[in-house]
Amino acid sequence: MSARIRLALVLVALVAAAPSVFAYLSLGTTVNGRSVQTRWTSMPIRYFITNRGVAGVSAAQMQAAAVASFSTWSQVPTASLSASFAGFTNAEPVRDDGATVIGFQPHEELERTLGVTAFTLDRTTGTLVEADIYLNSAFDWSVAASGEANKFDVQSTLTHEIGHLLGLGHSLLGETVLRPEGGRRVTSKRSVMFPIAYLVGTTLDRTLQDDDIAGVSDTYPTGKFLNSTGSVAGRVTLDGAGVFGAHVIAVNTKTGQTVGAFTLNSQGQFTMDGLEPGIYVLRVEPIDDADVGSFFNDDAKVDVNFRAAFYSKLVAVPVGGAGASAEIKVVRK
Amino acid sequence: MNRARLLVFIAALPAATPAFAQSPPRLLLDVGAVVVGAAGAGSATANYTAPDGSPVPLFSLSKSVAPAIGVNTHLQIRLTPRVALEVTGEWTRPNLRTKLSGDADGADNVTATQPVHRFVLGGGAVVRLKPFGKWHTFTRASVGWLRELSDDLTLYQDGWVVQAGGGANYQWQEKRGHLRPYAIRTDLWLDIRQGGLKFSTKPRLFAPAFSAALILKL
Ligand SMILES: [Zn+2]
Repeated sequence: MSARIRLALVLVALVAAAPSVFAYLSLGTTVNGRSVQTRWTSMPIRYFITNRGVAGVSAAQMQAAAVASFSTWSQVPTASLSASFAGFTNAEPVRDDGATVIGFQPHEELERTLGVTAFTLDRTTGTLVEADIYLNSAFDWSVAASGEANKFDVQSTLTHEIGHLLGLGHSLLGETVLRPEGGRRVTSKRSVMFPIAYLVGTTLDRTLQDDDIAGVSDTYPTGKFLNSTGSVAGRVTLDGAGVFGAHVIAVNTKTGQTVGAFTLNSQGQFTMDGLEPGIYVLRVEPIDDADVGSFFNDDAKVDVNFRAAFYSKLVAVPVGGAGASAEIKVVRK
Repeated sequence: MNRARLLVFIAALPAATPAFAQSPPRLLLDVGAVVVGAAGAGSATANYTAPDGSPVPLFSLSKSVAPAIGVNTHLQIRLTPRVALEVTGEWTRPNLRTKLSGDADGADNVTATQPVHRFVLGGGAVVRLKPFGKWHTFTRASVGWLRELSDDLTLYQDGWVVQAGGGANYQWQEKRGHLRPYAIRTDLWLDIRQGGLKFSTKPRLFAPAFSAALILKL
């Protein structure tokens, strides 16, 4: 595979190179000038666990947490994927060796990075051929069933990283506040794929949310998913011009299902798939609860200077398609 | 119409005083306008989750179905002088409304709406009560199949409706022949709906309804 390319968590570059029209952010790449979704095409995904634990977490416990995290994703009824543990290895993660390796690695220099996922993909097809994950052993980790004070939960963090491994980018379903010492603190969120973790001690991210489920189902759809869900499409505009990088969320008025997406071109167009048929509220907001770089690459012209707004109409989502297109108008802050 | 025969008929009417002594025609059809009142559809919050697992509101939804107007029709088949079976058809155009408020990021409050189409096809029974002069009162109940469609007709979802109430027909002299106006019908009932477009957080919606129709003798 001469065209293989190494990408060490350049998620944002991938995303901006391939404006995806899916809910949440699906990773994409450009093949012969055409955007394709980055995904695995052969199952099961075989992964190794590094033969090395950290204080409080053995290699076997890491493996058990990885099995649990993979099965969280593979048990989504509307997604068709599987993974299998191939054995322990002395190989390090994040090495282009053809093997998908998950393990701990010390990265003192990455003060706020809990974990990293890196990909190898076939540039002629966009197919993933290898993805490695490391959890930063500079932090304190736990595998306790209900979490441990002052330690990060291995399974929760792996569930997020495995979402990346499967081809999902970040979601913006969360609220944060700036911390005096730098960085952001999550006050609330509704997606495992939100780029910022809960603080130490919680295990909430072991459980997928609507947005994660829509994302993985859209990437690995079952027939049931395609036959039982619908989508919503539209534009976000300011004075008639499209807004790029606006975050649109859809909330089901009956069930509360909440899914997010971004406008991904200069016309301000967005599409959200994987919605239960029904009546939805649409709301748009700028990227202001995480770094723009968590979603788009640095030279993307993301507009964050507008006020959050609701769409003036309720939106009908039919089975297997989209209803009337929505134009959500916003104004400057 | 033959004038002489009509006069004879009118003169004969006062004699028919005892209640129910005079059977209504076997088949009656009415077509009219209907108004279905507003119904509260519950409230909800769009929530995120705090680190301790508790819900954090992103914004609030207060839902209702606005009053709707439309048309309805009944076909009545008399079984006995007092009891008739009735087939009901109804189309109305209600507006689903959701007041959005309390946004965590300060979005202005908005009432988002979606006009929908509602069709009801039902069947039930009508029981005649005592007449008051030319007003012939009745009570009725029916069960119907409900289909609601989004404004663009792409989404439809079904449900059930139960209607219970009563009314009065203002009945003038019976004219002979077919397809003759026979009476004006006024109806007041309680509409109990379940299902339809998935919108409400309440299991059932309750709304008063009223219709006025022209009855034709078939
Ligand atoms: Zn991430």
